[in-house]
Amino acid sequence: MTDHAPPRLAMTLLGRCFPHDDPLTGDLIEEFATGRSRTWFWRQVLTAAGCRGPLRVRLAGLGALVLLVGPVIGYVGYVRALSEDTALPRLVQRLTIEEMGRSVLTDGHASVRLDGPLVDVTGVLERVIQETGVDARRIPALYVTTSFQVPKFGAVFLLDPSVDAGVLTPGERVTLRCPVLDSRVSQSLCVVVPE
Amino acid sequence: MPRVQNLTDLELMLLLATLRVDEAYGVLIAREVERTAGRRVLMGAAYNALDRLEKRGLVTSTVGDPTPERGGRARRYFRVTPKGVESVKQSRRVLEALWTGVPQLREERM
Repeated sequence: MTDHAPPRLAMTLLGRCFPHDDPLTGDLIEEFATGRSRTWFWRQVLTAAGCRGPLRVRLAGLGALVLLVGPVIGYVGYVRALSEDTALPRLVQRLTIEEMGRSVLTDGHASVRLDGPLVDVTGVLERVIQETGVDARRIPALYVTTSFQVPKFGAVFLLDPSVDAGVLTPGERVTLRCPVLDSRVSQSLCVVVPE
Repeated sequence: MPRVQNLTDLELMLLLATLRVDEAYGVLIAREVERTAGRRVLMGAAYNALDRLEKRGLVTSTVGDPTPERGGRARRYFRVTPKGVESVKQSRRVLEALWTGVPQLREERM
């Protein structure tokens, strides 16, 4: 094999995608031998696999699968993460008390900000989508990613219905419960009503 | 005027390139398009388009013998059929009809 042999992995991919399409493979080998770069070869192979080979069908199927299953996995995964003993205290440390307090005092609930890598990414994406006016539903990958926002809304912590939100005083400790977590574990969150 | 299915930009270029070169096969067709039209051709896209043209009866193809410089792979030679030639001519007529009578294009006409 010479120094200018086609990339071995790309050749393997070609063989897998086009076992009966020798002319295409031969054309790429012949053209590569004239001095084309390895990048050129890879681009040719990947686009051929994407637009012509069985990989096209597989990618389309995989995309559909991710579109359907992705949000569910994200939701379940997030709830499981919240259910772990160590997850909630870490989240509590990141809470914005001012935002929570205002919610508690007015509506009796707190939209807990689940700051974490996943939410950070989706939050940025959400803002980009809003500002650019992109229709996320037309971009499957974007749609799947932003669908991970679902657990964020599922993690709304509610003030106990027996407590009158109108009579809370600054500095008082109140307990909030998360209905999503309540169904799995008994989980509550204790916060101090802000001054 | 007989109704002929429209050709895409790439299909038209591939047909013309196939007509222009002898013993046209993938590499030569792609090079011809690149040389004359200045358009880089992805081989997979070219084969896709050529397959479509073959299904429509605008080109035929035959597979040659394997050659060592191609790693033992054969060449697939393409030939434009009379129907393909007519389709190219039709595309030209359509473009010329659109071209005619546009004042802004008068000086640029070949």
